[in-house]
Amino acid sequence: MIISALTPALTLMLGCAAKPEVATEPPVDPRWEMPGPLPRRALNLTDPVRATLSNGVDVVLVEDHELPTVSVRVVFDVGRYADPEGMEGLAAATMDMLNEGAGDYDALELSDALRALASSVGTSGGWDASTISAGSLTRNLEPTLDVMADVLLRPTFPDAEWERIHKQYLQDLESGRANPNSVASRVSRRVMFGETYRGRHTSEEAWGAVTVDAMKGWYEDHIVPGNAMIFASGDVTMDELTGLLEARLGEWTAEGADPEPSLATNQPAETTIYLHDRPGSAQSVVNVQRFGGSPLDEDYTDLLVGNMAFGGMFAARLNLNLREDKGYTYGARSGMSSATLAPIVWSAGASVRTDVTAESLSEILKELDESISTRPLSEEEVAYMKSSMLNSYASRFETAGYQLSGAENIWRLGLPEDWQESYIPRVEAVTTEGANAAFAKTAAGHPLAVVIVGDAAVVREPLAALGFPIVDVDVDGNPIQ
Amino acid sequence: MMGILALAMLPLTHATELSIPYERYELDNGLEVILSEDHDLPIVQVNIWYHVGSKDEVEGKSGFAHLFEHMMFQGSEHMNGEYFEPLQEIGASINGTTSYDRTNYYEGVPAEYLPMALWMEADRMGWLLPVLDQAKLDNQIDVVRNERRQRVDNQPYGKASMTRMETLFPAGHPYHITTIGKHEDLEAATVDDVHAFFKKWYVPNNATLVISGDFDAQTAKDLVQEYYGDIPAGEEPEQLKPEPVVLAESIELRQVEEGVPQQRVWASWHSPHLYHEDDAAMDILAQILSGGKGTRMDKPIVHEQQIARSVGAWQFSQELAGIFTLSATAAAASDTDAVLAAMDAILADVIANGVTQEEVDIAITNYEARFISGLSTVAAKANQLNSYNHYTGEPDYLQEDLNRYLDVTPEEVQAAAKRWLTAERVVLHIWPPDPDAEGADAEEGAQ
Repeated sequence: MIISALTPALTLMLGCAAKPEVATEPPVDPRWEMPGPLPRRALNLTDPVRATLSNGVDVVLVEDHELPTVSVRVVFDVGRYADPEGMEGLAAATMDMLNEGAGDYDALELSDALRALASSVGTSGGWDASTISAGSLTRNLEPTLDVMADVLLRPTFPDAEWERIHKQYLQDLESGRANPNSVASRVSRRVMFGETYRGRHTSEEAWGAVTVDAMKGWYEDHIVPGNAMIFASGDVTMDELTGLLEARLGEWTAEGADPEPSLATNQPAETTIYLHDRPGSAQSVVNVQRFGGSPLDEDYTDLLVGNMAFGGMFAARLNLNLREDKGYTYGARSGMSSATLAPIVWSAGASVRTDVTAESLSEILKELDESISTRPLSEEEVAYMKSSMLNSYASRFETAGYQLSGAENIWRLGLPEDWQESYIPRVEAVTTEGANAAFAKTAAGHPLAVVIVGDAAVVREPLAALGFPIVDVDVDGNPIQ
Repeated sequence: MMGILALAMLPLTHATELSIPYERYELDNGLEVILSEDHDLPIVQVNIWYHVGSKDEVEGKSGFAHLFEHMMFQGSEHMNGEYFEPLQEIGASINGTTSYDRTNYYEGVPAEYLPMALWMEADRMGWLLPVLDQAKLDNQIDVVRNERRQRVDNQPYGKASMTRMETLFPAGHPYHITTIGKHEDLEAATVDDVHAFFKKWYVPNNATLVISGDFDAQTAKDLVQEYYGDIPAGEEPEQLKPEPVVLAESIELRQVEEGVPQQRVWASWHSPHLYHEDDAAMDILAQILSGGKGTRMDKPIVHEQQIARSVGAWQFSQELAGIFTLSATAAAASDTDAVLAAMDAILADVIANGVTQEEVDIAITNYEARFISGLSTVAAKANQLNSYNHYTGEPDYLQEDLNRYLDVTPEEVQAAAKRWLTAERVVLHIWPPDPDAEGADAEEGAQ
């Protein structure tokens, strides 16, 4: 891949940064000239290898023998979307409990066994997927996989451990409600996703309804080979790995269910401010959002570039305005939520000084409006962002994570098989018109859900003056009557 | 993926050999340069450490070293614009960080853009001041104060570490005020301060430049000479020496904070500084006390009695001094006094009766794994070379550093615990407001 020559970046971000005065002195000193690139060096990649276990579970491995470590993740394409209503969090609790007693180990013995190996086995239940992951030094891979197999196949769900963890969850709810950023994300999810799975929060009531029997049922229904795929990396060959996995998981043939999530959404009908009062806040968390931008859309790469120019990085319009020009914030960004089953959310936001909350919102909205009127994304900006995205490509391969998450997304979300290989040509093909059109289609010029978590006594009046309806919401995003 | 970590690992703990090959030399102006080739991927890291941190700030100028770091991104004479702009265009990952002890700046760039990354780093070392003005400073004072609001003021328990440092270290000690600084000091910073700080600390003879990744050493040397060679050396700034602090008496602070969800407690002692002969033993002690569910403090307190949501123990060692801390978040049905009493009893038992060989071995194995997995990126290795160079004078100190841990014995852990953790200490409790307190006050008032 050839990257177009460096454009003089000095003059790029119009009206935002202090203007350079490079041209006023005739450049006699060679120091005035930014050096060009050396000859390009080759990017040699190891392709992931694939195999299928006898029980039908696919395995992807990125082999890398530089460090004596191995990582193995078993991913299930089912998660909190399969929580029954009223038991929000069941998938997460089930997955946590796998690690609290398995095979002949009780919770402490399990932890001690892993610690003695300097290994880890982690479990998690996310929105769309659940994971059991193991990490170990190569020399301890076999005993680590033994423990992982116990956790996966022989969990014991001890009542006493659930009693303990249940209390911890209740405390964690309180911690989440005390943190302004997690409150903003809870409120945003509720406002955007309503009663669908992402809008339904964990709560005291829901944790009270979760039982050990419900967890056992969730486990039996969903933690089955038909929902699983394995992603590995590190100091092991595929032959060695499949041998080790066959010996431990070969007999694992349980059958279960593969439910579909409910995906209904409410695109905001008019721009509305959802205000959560957090008295005494030193800052307000400001977040504007609407649905848009699926990787399955034809113009998704156009949107990636368009968003990048608007607010996807430090040197983008949003941050250069709110941080580097106005000094309202430590950082402002925009972007799409990572690829998920649920509709993707485009959002822009920042934590801003309390007394400039309304001004910050105003600037975000002004930047959006100008991007479809007086200041569409320019040729230079689009070329700049494409250059940035193409040039950072090689660094993605420092760890196996990029290749493995690509393979996972192709599997779970049905992305095209060549999703990663096509990245460079897809970015190269983006035009200025395309980037502007995709950004306007998704973000600019549409009603937005605005979430603000801050000191209502200070921010309410200036926000009201902007003319949008204000809905006061509680810590979970529900309107306060 | 990585290429420069030479490694011969045998299945016995003491047979490991870790090394990051490097070449080090110095320019005439005193700039120290460390080159470390790694041709695995076509990327290069430029990582420069200036040997100045918030410990070097003078009274009334807290937070200045970090504010200054921000000014380094505001352009220099030959590139007077946002520092991020040309670098992000070529796909670089860029940042700078400030700690008590040092300030670092780094760019990860495609290998072919090494000349540009060096040219830009050199320009701000040599030619920052001609284009620095009040407007840039005012803007970054706002930005840094926002950073403090975001990280400290708007976070539950956010000010706890400030309170603890201010109580542990007397006024005037280099670690008395945390790196982020005080709002009033940040607000009072002037352009003259920036000039003076730059001239004193940002001289080539007070910096170390690491280049790591896919480059050819001779090309890199030529580029470094071309861009940095003309920058004049400055006066050698005086580096502070470790300053042990002895608390005259133990201090127990109790604070009530609006908006915190649970009772939390920290108990801290002065402890050995980084690379002190007791430093590794204190790290191992922290692992034995709270390195997993089944360890000394977690097992009885979190798992069995369930009087805490979580407990922690860690040795925070820096250039001039260290701090050893026990911390806990109380369970809803308990309080921090009960949890602290339980932690104290466990610590007293370690001091009186020692720890087992098995506990030490397991802690060491976990350190070894951490050493290995901490070196998976070129960025991490570049910064590690600079860190070892700064603190020990030997960039490839990896194996010797690991040896510090491999050599720890149970007797040393017990002796270190006794030496450092029987002294005076600072305890901070932060509690949420008592929900019944207001009603109780009102009743009293009515009588």
